[in-house]
Amino acid sequence: MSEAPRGDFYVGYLALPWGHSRFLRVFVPLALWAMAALGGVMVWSMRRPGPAVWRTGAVQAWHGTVRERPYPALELDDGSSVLLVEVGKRGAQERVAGLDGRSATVRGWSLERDGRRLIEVSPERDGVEPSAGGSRSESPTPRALGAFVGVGEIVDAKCFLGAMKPGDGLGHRSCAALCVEGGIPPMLLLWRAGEPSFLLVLGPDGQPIGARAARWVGERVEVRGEAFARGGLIEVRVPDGGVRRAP
Amino acid sequence: MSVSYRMVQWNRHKRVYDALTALAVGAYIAAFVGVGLVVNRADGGVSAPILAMRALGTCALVLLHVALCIGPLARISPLVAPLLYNRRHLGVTTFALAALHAVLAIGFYGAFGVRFPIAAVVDPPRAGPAFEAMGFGALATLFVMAATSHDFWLKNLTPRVWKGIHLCVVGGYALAVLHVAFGALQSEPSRALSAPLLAGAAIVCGLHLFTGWREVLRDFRGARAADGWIDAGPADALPEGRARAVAVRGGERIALVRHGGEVCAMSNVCAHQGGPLGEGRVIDGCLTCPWHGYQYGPCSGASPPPFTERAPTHRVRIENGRVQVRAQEDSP
Repeated sequence: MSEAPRGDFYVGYLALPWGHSRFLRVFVPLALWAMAALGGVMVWSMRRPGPAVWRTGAVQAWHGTVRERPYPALELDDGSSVLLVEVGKRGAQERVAGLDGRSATVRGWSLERDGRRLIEVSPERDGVEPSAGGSRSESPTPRALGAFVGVGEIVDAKCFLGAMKPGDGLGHRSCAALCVEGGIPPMLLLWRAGEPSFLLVLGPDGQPIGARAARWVGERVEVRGEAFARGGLIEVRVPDGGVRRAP
Repeated sequence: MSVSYRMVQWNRHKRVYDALTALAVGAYIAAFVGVGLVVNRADGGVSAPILAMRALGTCALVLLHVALCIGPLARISPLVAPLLYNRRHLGVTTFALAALHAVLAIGFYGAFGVRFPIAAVVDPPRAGPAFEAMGFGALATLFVMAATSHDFWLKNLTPRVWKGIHLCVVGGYALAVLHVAFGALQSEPSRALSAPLLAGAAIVCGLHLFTGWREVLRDFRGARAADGWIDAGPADALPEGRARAVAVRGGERIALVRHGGEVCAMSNVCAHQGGPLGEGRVIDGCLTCPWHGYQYGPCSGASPPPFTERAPTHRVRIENGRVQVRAQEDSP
């Protein structure tokens, strides 16, 4: 009984035909190089995360006046304010409760980017240590700067200043929303001539905007409100309906 | 072929296939991470979990494109058949990479917060498109593909149902592309990322449309049955040991095969995964499917013992030097 030679007919459990063997000797090395090249090109094309630094080494200490509202902050002797957050995706509201206006030493790790700093408070008992017998000072009155309209992205301050790189963009949206829901201050990030500026996003009466900001994080939005300056921070108080997707 | 179920019916080709798949994945991820560390060095680097998440996610998407292109390419050129042979392992690898990507996304973006991590990532408060849920949908589809990829499911679900389930990969692919397009790409200004995604989608869709259109056209031009018989061309046009598919207008194709001088006919559909028996060859006295090598007696349609697969046969007659095939299948 005669049978056609198998020739170029491939069967997986039999020896590779010559034609297929010749094809694969060219194709396989090319495919492997193409995969490596594609991987390199993909990551090379991606946006750079920016010069954010999370100093996670030894615990550092800062001394100043604690401010509970609108978001926990430490007012330093030079008049500037540094926001305080907890480890993880939580604000430091519970840690500084009842300490507004009190002098204290805060221990933790700093996150820094483009001149803006934030402190992740150490989870140890001495993370926020009020000074003994200190008097309370009044919170500085915010100075009105007028109506504000800006287009940018609402980010959670902790990730953007270095906890995650990149800590902005739509891909990071779920994390930023979780941070804001957990009490980490939302900030409006504006880019001017390649330089970022940060505005603390608050509710209409200057209270924390809380989880309401979570639905807008990661997107390019237009924010309308009233701007105020306080302790080296610029705040924008946003009325209901003051945030919308940027056209 | 097998008569019992094993985890994997290993042979040399499958081992080489899997080793090369691992090498390709390794090359991609090593290049991604290596170049990523170098180009972001000035800024102190991308967070390691995010770099790994991106490497795994993009690699899964590349493999998904490759897996989807192999089918139509194998219809165009038989040289691609070795890539088709073990494509299921490519699919399982794709799912594994996508699952690791999701685990990192949930672990890094969704953990340490006030909500359950999976809910935090899959369903965040949002104003825009739910690209996270799209990614979850794509992953769930890939999971179903991977979990039912074994021949156990093929046999027990029946090839028709199994094939139907596995066609869902088209939906999974669409969800994966939308996940990237409405997610990561929205924050990436470079066209070097959107261009490959668009090109990949165009290649996948183009190849499937081209080969699908060719098959539809072939069926449309198929022979029409007259008095229950179909004219299948000159009897001497079919060489010894070869097979040919005869398109039937409005019906399933029939595989003609010449063996030992005799022309026989059986269903064109392999009982395993529906491979085209009419594109097979006679090997060891059996018509052999070009996809996975399942074999059938050329005139009996029965797999050689101890195998039990069977392809329905058709009666054949020669009239005036032309082959005629009975449109109706023979009774089993």
